[in-house]
Amino acid sequence: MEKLDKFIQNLKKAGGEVLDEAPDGWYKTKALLGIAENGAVWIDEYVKELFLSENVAVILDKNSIVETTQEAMEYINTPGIFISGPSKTADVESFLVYGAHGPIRFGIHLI
Amino acid sequence: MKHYELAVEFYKKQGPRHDRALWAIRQKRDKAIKEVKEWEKLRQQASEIKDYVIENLHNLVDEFMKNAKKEGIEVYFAKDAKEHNEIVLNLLKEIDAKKIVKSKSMLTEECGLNEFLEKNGINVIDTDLGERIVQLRGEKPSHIVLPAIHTTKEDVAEILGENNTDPTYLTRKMRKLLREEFLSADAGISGANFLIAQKGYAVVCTNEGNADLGAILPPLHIISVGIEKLIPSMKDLGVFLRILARNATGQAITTYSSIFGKKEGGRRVIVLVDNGRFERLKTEFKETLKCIRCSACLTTCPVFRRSGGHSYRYVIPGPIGSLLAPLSDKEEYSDLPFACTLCDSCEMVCPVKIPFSKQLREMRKYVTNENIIIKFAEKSMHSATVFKLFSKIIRLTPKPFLEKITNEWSRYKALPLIPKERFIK
Repeated sequence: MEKLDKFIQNLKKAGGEVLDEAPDGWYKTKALLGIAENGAVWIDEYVKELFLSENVAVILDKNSIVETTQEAMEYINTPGIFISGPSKTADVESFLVYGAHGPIRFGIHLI
Repeated sequence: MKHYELAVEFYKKQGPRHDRALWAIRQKRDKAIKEVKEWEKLRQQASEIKDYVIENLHNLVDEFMKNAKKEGIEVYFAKDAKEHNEIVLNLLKEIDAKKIVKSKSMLTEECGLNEFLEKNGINVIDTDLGERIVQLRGEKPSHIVLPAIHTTKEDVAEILGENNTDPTYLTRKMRKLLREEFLSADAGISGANFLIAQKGYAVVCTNEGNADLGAILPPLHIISVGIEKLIPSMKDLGVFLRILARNATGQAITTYSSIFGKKEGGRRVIVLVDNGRFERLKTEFKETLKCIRCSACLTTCPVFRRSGGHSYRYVIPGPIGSLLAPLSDKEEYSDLPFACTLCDSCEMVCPVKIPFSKQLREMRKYVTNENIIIKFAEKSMHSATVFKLFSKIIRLTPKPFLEKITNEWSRYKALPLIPKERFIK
């Protein structure tokens, strides 16, 4: 399960969190795969709620985590989006702030 | 004013802070690339893909246009900046657009789109927080990935009319103001980081999510993009997504990497822009077309770090800007290839292996008009008699006058003492 550990570690580095369950009031969606090397998930349901919601919870199957983005691209053949953590910016004097235009919190519920 | 003059002013004001901020990013980048064992192999792959792209650019443009249309995206080809701006204006006029939300696009900066649209009565709101800061300050971005790196939190508080300088507070405030603009805009305009020829898709990488809100909320989404952003396939995209963010900011990947096809319930239009790129393919500077605008060459450059982006006066500053600017206006930017110590740092970090040192040296030649004194000096070395005469003249010329004609060099360096006697009789 080395891939899973790496995924979680990189998700946290990107400001994301691991959720035991998707909390009420959060926008919920499903990811088709996750990437260990950067903690990103691939979502092909590209909807405005992904960006307008303050909190986003993504459900991801532990078995669909791949090692690298290159590996992920072998499975991807449609439009969609890779997301790693909440939206962020460091445009105010290089201070990292979560919640630039999109979600302030971004969690993954692993199943 | 030339680069060396603006650089001195900038350095006095905030050189050390700017230098430290960028060096911190360079260090983050070094850490991030060490996490990828096959980094050098990836760089080589990226470089080879881009070599292929510049050799096959005409075909890839055709393939992309065909596939994007098939996907349900409208595609235009603009031969220059003027044509690009007119296409965009017409698209906006068609829907009677009054306000547009824009996310970062160096190409629209290159074309002067903001000014053009404003002149035609369209309100342009830059939505990248850094770009919004510089827009409100009436400035241009000073770095292609970190547009407001030259400003402080006090500067941001000032333009927002706030006393609180807390970065989180200021970011939230701007988020709130811009969210209203997103919800009421008539169209969104963005750039693109990559275009996939094989599928007709456009790929946009951001951290803030502003490009996505601009793409998804208004009924019309226009993507303005230079033709050099083409890559052949989805497989190639995997290579570039692995290197772009690591090399730019030291992140493993940007928060959002959006692959755009047809727009559900609206129109997506891509305007491909040539603006001299096809011509550049025929020159010794064609390798500048490999650039993916990661900005690592700016961030690492010891001159850029101390002189700030505005001293370059061009939309793209730093080492890559010093190559691109003179190609757009040789006279105006002839100083830029010399804003460089040939230290090679840019070439070391470039993820697509643009041969910066070689290109910058070539560019120095390209911008230098033949100097009659240098020409004479060179000729004189072919004949001992003429050379003796020439060195005699130099010895007899008063030093202040000599310093005057060698201008830039004598600003910070004294001319060496000229020996009374020649080394060889």
